[in-house]
Amino acid sequence: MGIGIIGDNIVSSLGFTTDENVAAVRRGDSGLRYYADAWGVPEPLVASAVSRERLDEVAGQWGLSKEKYTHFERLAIVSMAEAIRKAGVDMKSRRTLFILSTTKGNVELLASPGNDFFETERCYLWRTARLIAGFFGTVNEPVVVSNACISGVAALIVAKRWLEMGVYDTAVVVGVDVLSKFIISGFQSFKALSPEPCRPFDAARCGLNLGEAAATVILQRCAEQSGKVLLAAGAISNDANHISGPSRTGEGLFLALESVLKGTDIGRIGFINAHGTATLYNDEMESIAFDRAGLLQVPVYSLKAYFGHTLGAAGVLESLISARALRDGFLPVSRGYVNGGVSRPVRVVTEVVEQNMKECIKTVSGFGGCNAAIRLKIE
Amino acid sequence: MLVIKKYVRIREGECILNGQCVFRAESLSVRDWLTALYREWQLEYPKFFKMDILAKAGFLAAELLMQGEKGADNRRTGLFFANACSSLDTDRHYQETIGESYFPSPSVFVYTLPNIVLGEICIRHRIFGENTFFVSKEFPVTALRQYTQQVFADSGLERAMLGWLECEGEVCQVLALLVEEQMEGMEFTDEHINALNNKDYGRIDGKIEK
Repeated sequence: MGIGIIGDNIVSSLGFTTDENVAAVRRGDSGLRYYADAWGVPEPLVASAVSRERLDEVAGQWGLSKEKYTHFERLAIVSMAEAIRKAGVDMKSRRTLFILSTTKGNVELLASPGNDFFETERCYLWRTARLIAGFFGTVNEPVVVSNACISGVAALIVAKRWLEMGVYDTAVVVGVDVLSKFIISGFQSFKALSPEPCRPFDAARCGLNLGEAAATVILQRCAEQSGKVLLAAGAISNDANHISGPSRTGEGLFLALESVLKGTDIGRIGFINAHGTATLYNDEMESIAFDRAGLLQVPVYSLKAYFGHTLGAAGVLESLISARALRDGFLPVSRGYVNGGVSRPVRVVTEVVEQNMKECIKTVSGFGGCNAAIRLKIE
Repeated sequence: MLVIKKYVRIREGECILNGQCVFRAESLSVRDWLTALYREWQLEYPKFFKMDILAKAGFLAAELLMQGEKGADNRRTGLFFANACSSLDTDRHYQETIGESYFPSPSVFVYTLPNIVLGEICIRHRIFGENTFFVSKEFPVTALRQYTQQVFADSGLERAMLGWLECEGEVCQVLALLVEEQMEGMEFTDEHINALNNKDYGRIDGKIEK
């Protein structure tokens, strides 16, 4: 038996279903747009935002009013509702666990404490998690994972562990973060944002783009031969080096990779979906960790130039695209890449390749020195 | 079996280490109280002064737990903490810097993530293992205990630090446990965790022993 993906949905700048998002990635479309004056920040930026018009329309179908639910909550619920409906999950069962992965939740409400609709208590992540859970009538206390940019992958690993304990039969994991002045100004203050669409692993890369999204994964115990994509292994580690910069030796990511590679052969790994934020230090650190783990011959791609960095959603969203790539047998192009720009010769994917694959790896790294990796497989 | 080898509890101006009151100071702000504990223990770690209150509290709890500890493989040490407020205390502080006067500061922004405290502890003690931060209205004793046990079982953990780290405004409540596999000791159970969290140690007067 393994832990398999039995349902999913992605709501992002590139679409409101997983199929729409996967099709957009295969076509090479990007959800990044130039915003001269948005989110109340003084500088222009390139970001990936969910269509408000379409969200209103879809949220309306689920009866989610703007007066009752925040933008963050509407995105989360819209993403989950479709996945739950299609997979036929009983959210009211004691055997179903709901996990929310987010870095900042409703933090934008701090800017308007006298808001007409929403109490400031909504900024507490447990509070927004309970509201989302309440929409679906779940009976168990939601689990909230808030581990910077590794939150989404960490939440999948947490879900896997709970299912393996046998305490729950089904885990519904949603990763969500939304664009706000709070988050954008913070990344701007770090001088981490690129003024153009980002270029992961490229010599001319100069920073990341932010994005918003809500991605849902539903996990259950499945037979190995079920035809489902299985979450075969997962590991979380720390660089023990710096709270806001990656390790120069890639220590934490290397340890996570070493752990998830146990029990398989590197020859079976079809690709690595890297974190690939397109900051100078992140991509360089990843190339070192891939080298140390013996993975330099494995094709690598980043999805950041399609979706931006969607923070707490990224690990869930990007794992889902990778699960589809594995199942459907294709390698997405690592958008924005032209010339090698990291010290180790990583094999960055420059054109869509169709091929059968058995396994893949997804990596993430974040502030606080945290790193995580998962290995997906399909039999 | 897994045992609670050591524990630290901070609440209402009092710091308990393994059942002993090791520091008490009343009528100090949380910030000043944390600094006073740092000085009382004669710690030398200048980065402490750059930290927000959540990181300071977690750092100090880990410092007390790790005193005199050696031997475990730090790739096999895990950190599992939870709180209710995530990083809201620093979030509010950061929000003030992006209002009408707009001076966002990276050194404040970096603390607007609750797992930064875990990064600080990892740096200080060279811990490379799993570090996961959960947010929950109440101390999720059963969930945290079950999760920690599962990580011991499935990833060969040798040591864990875990617990509750709630720091917001003038509230600072910590229960931090050091858990290891041992033949004997206080078994790592919900009953024991709840007992440590709720026990009334009374007011211990006189000389405080470290």
